[in-house]
Amino acid sequence: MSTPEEFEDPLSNYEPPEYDDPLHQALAEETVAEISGRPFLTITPDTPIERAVRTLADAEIACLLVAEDYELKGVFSLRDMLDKVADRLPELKGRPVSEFMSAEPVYVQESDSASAAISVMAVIGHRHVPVLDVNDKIAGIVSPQRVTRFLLDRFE
Amino acid sequence: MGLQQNLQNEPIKRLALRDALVVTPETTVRDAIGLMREKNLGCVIVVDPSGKARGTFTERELAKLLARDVESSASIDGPVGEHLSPEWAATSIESSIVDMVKLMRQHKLRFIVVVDSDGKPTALTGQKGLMEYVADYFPREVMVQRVGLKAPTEQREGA
Repeated sequence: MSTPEEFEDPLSNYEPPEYDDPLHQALAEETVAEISGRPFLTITPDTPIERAVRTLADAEIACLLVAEDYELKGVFSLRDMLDKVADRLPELKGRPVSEFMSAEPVYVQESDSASAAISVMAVIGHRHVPVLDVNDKIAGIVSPQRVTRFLLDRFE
Repeated sequence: MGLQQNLQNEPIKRLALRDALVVTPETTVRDAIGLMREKNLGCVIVVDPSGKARGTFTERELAKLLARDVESSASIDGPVGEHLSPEWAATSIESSIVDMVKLMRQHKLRFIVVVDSDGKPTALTGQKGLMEYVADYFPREVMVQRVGLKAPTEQREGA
């Protein structure tokens, strides 16, 4: 055996013992701000429902934030579209998206951990979680795609 | 073993798999919507007469179809086979979780069809099951969400 002074890993102190691997640790310690930043789209609550659907289709995104002056009012996702409007859009034409959005969505703060956002996705079942800043204004959105990218970066 | 190793070593059957909602190409979009609502799932799998998976129809195709056809219900009452996803992917239940994640990223997919050795769909997997799997490593955060409280924000000096 060599003497500890010679061979002690200088990085060993950076690994808190409670995490058994680097990915687990990264998800617990990195903040939502570090994994969000995805471009997000907001629409106002009075947007006609057919325009909200067209925005989802054209932008190829799964979730719109419904907001006024960066204040979050709700989210309108592909799932809201499927559940509430898909079979009768022509008759709903012109009605505001606020009637069909999910109001008061669960959100995370920029300073929350990435794992907190993942837990919201797992427990609440929403795949897209709005991110608010310290002033409760919209800062972004966390999606499974961002988490997936984050995970895969560890394997490349 | 840790999360990173387990993602690499564990097969996708360890994920919470979803039902394979199987339809034929002639099924109407309206009936597909009914099935997706009933099972709370954003994807149906289209099979050929022998039962082999031939494609998927997802919420994304539904949005495109609705956006094109705001004035009438014509395409809603048409066959789902005309609106298949441009990309889809299938894998075996024995493949590793990380390979499934790579497949999702490569093709920008939310859902991956799980097929048997004959190419017949047996289940559906994707982002949701992956998030649930990862969340299992964070029981404290999950508990916070279940109880409906927010975790106390850690105060950093100078932050």
